[in-house]
This record gives sequence, structure tokens and C-alpha cells, in this order.
Amino acid sequence: MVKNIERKEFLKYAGIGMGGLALTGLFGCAPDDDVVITNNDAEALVLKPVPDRPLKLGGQWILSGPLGTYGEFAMQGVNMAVDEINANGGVLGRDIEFIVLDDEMGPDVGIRNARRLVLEDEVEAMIGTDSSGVALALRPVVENELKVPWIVTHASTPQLTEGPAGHLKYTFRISTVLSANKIAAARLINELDLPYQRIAHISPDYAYGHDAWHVFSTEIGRLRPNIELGVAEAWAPFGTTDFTPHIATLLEAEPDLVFSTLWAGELVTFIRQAMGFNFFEQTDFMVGMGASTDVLYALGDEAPEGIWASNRYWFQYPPWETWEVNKRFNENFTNRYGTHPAYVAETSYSAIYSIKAAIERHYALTGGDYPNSDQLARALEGLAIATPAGIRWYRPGDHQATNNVTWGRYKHDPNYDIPILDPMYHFPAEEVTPEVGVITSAE
Amino acid sequence: MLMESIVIQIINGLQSGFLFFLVASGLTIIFGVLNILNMAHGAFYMLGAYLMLTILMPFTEVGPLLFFAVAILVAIIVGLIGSALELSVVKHIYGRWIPYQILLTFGLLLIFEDIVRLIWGMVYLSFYRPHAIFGLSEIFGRAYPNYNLMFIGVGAVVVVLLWLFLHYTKMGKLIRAAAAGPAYRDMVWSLGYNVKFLFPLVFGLGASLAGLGGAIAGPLQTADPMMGLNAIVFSFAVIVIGGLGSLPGALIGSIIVGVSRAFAVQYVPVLEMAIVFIIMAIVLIFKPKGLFAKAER
Repeated sequence: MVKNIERKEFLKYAGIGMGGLALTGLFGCAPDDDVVITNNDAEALVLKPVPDRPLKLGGQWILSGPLGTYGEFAMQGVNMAVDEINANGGVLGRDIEFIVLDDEMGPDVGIRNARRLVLEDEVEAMIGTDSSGVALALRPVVENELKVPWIVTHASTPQLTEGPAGHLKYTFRISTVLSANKIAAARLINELDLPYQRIAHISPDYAYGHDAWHVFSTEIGRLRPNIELGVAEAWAPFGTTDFTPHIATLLEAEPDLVFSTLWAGELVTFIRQAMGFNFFEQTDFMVGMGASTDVLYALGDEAPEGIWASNRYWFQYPPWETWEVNKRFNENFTNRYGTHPAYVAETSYSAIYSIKAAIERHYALTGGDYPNSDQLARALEGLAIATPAGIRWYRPGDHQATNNVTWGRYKHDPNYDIPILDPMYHFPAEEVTPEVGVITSAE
Repeated sequence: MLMESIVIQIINGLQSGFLFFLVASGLTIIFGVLNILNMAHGAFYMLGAYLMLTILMPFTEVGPLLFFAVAILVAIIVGLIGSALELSVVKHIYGRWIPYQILLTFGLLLIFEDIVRLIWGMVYLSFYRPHAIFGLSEIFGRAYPNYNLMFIGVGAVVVVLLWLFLHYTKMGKLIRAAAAGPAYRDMVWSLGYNVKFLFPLVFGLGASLAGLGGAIAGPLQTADPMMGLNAIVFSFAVIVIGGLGSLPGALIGSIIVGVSRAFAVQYVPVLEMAIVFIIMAIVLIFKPKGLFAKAER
């Protein structure tokens, strides 16, 4: 002890002597087993008090460009959660202060943003981001450098959470993993005994599209070995505006089902252009992001009935009569924004509530200790929480939250301003989410 | 079956080719006369699409007549914006080092993207039932949208009108002379014609062609602020293949790019984007100045 104090004193003066407080910090933090152990022991005896400043949280999404709508949707959910929580006494009495940045869908920008949020703004936890590319680039930075809990709200690549149990420390995902949705699609065909014999596909020509087709074709191939898979394969580069040659390629193969993972504006464009070829009269169509509200609002009553569609969260499920949380969320959301919530609005909303729950969980179970980053991450592990989409559970093994999957067919209903899913089928998360440690990604 | 799909993909390629031509022809005329590589050209295409969708929005039913009337109106508006841009900003960079031109015109493209975002916001701007305007035809017993065939018609009409304009009007002849090279430009000057007055007209003409392309393509696609950049990438490939500044080159280049992309989608999907640039590279190796290169200046 004495030695350490002397050493500290010495360094302090040396630091001043060198004219730089920065150096004091630098040497002061140098590993010195004696100091660290002593300090930790001393701290462990005292419960860390709740800080008397606001709870800072940060997030980043695509806020510019054609996909900028997704960032705006996410912020709708964030603003609603933050306002609700702050109006009800905050988190352990602290108001939430949320800082949002635009990742421009660029991995380098995403990393820069995350560093800024943690190092300059000193946020206690982060949420985001949309692109799987950005998420995969961020993961090592969060895990090894920033060491702050981070809940992914949109990016769906299986690669993010797949791996041996315990491979992630700070990275969590509340939104569904791509594989669950595609496995559910294959089960749907199998369990309803749909008479599809020739399946073609049109997929975005990047990791997301390749992973999705890989998972779906593997699963349906296993369940129904006699189905002909990939009778036509159309890959669309990011930013495709003219799908005419793809449509011709698909129709020529005379499939009875076209499977697709197109999304957002490109999906709207594809459906619209395909209608000019009477595409949907010639083949069934199944698209995982078809029930995303942005797509449904853009298509309106033009949407061809009967398209098989899914979404990462569907506003009608769980049914409002039995799941009050969903009813309340939807009513408040529609009152405030005038639309049905996009799935990223729900995941971002629920991510904020997850962080609140984890802080309170640690605080309550320790009898009043305020969690540091590591403790907050541990408190998120295994957390079960009621969210609009149902009860989610952050699996301790891979930090993937469980999400039920909904598939259904487009149907126009005069009671709704967008097409709804009717009939609608549900798959419980545990039936379609691959076990911890299973690798489904094509990479 | 194979024959049928080849014919269908040729038609698909032609319709996207003629759409490329509307953008590329303006780009190549501007380059030919003003000697400027106009990166902002994609912005005119994007503006055309946004204006078209906005003007058509209040109409519940759109027929071919209204469609073409609005498209021509949009082309004129975008042309005027182009001329104004030449008179205010672009005229200062003639004869400057090429990187300056690229910086300025690319900067303009970014500014236009942000203006579009400010005015129209983030939502997808899309059109309700575009196929209802022109109806459907049948090709080999399968439905084919007349909307797509319309691209070929509009493109062909523009080719003919441009050719008549350039060969049979005084202004057209002056433009051709000015585009033939600096020596010819001086000759036109010495004959008493002020070539400078042509510049805003040429820039406006090029802009209006791109605006027309955006206007007729907009309702079939989903308008977004990035569409200008996407259009310009293909158009540059087109005019490099055809020969910078050559109008016949732009036409042939557009068709090559459109058709080869359509075939790549069906037969070698991995090459959908690459095929265009592979062809460009091959042309550059054997005819460095493009297929329809003009005589040495």
C-alpha cells in the first residue's frame, strides 16, 4: 500500500513536471497488480450509488439515403419509449437522454459513431443498427475495445450471434435472426402441405440474400426432398431499379412458388413491375419482408392478394385481446404517429425497455448497487421481458433474444389502411430459432 | 423455348437501353459541345422522376395523353433548370482542369440529392398502378406490359427528333459544328455566330433529355434520392463504349449495355453489373476512343 501511494505521488509530480496531465492518466492506469487488487477490494465493499446525472444511451441507424426511412422508424420507437419512461420517473429516478447518429450504412462510419458515443458522450449502452455489414464490423470493436452493452435492433445476419456458447460478452440482439424466419417459411410449406413442386427465387445479391436462400433451401430440402429447388435463380444487386429481365427469367422457368428476400423500396418496385407481367397470377410468391409496414403503405390496395408475407414484428400479433402490452403500444403509437408501427420501431422501443429492466434487475438483486458496463451486460443475459412482440428472452448462450415468427397472406380488409395477413400462422420462437452453437449462415 | 426467352430478353434489353439512351445522349451532347463531363447529369434524371410523380399525384386516373403531356412539361422544367445552372455556375469551369469540373458537377449532384430530401422527405415516392396507363400486351402467350414497350417508342422518337434537329435546323447545324472540335468552333465564331449563346441551350437540352428519362421511368420505379447516381454510372459506361461526344455512339452503347445486362441476368447472374464494365474494358482495349470515336481533334 505504502509503496503504491509513493508511486502514485511520484507519477503525479513527474506528470506535472513533464507538463502533461495526460501522462499521469496514462501511467496511472498502467497495470500494477497491487494497486488494482487493493482498489477493487475496497470498492467491492461499497454499493455503487445511482449517478445523479441523466442516463445517457446512444443509437445509430441509417438516417440518410433511400433506406433512411428505417432510421426514422427506429427513432419513432426510441422517442416513444424515452418519453414514456421519463414521464414515469425515469430509470431509478434518472431521465434518459438519447443520442442518435447516422451510420450512413457504412461500417467505417458505424465504428466512428460507436467510439464517439462511448468515449465522448459516455453512453452507458448502445442500440442499433440496420445493416448486417455495419453490425459485423462493429461487433469486434464493441467486444474488445468499447466494452459497453449493445443491443442490435435490426441487422439479421446469423453470423452476428452464431458461435459457441459464451462467445459474446457485450453484443445482444433483440430483433429476430434471419434463420428463424426462413426456417419458419419452410415449416409453413411443410405443415400446411402446400403443393409447391418447383421453387425459384429472387434475392438481393449480398450476404443477406445468400444467407436467406441458403437457410430456406436447406430446410425445405430436408423437409421435402422431392421439391425442385432453384428452378430459376435471380440475384439483384443493391440499388436495382429495373427488374424486367429478372421477372422474365423467373416466369420462363414456370415455378409454382417464387421465394424472395427483397425488401423496402426494391420490393415495392419488384412487385409493381411484376404485376405488369401478370406475375402473381402465374406463380405464388413468398417474401419474408413483405409484411413490413413501409412496403404495405407503399403498395396500398394495389398489393396483390395471396402473397405469402412475413415480418420481424406484426402489429396484430400477439393478439391485442390477450396481450395488453401490444395493444397499448399500438394504440399509443398510432395516436402519436398516425401509422402502424414498423418492426424496427418495436425492436428499438423494446431495446430501451430491456436496458431499463437490466439496470433495475441488477440494482434490485444486489440491494442497491448501480451496475457498471460488465454488470449491465450480465444483467441482460438471460433477461426475460414483456414487450409488444411477446415475451422475449435474451438467451445467455448467444445473446439472441427469442422472437416468434408470423407468416400470412396479403388480404385487403376495409377496416385497415394497409393490407393485413389473413390467414395468419405463428411459429413459437423455440421451434424455429436454431439452437445455440448451430451454424446456419452460408459463409 | 430458348428462342422465345432470347427474344423476350432482347425486348427487355432494348427498353432499358432506350432509357439509358435518354440519359446518355444528354451527357454526350454536353460533353461534345461544352467539353464537360457532367456528373450532375444524374440529378436531372432524378428530378424528372420526382417532378413527374408529384405532378401526377393528384390525378386518380392517368391516361397516355396526360402521361405524355406531363412528361414533356417535366422535360421542359428540367431543361430550364439545366440552362439556369449553366448560366450561373457551370460556365465558370470551361477549359479548367478536369478534376475541377468533376468536383463541381459532383458537388451539384450531392446538393440536388439533399434538396430532393428536403422537399420530398424520406418516404418512397411511388406511383399507383402504373400498368393501368398503357395496359398489357401478349408476347408468346404471356402478358407483357405496354409501359415497358413505351420506353422503346419514346427512345426511338427522341432519336429521330434529335437527328432532324441536328441536321435540318440552323441551331442544330451550329451545335454539330461546335461539337466537331475547337478548330471548327473558331470557324463558326469567325463566320459571325456567337458560340457562347449555344452553351446554356445545349446544357438545357441535355438536362431535359435526362429529365424526360426520369419522368417516364419514375412511375414504374420507386423514386429515391440515390437514383441519380445509379443512372449516371450506367450512362458513363454507355458513352465510353460509344465514344465520348458521339450521338450514334450513345445509341449503340445504350443498346449494348441494356441487352447484355438482360442476358447476364438470365444466363450468368453473377455478371449482371460486371458485364457492362467488361464490355467497356474490351472496347477500351481495341478502340480506346470508343466505337464511334470522332476524328482526331
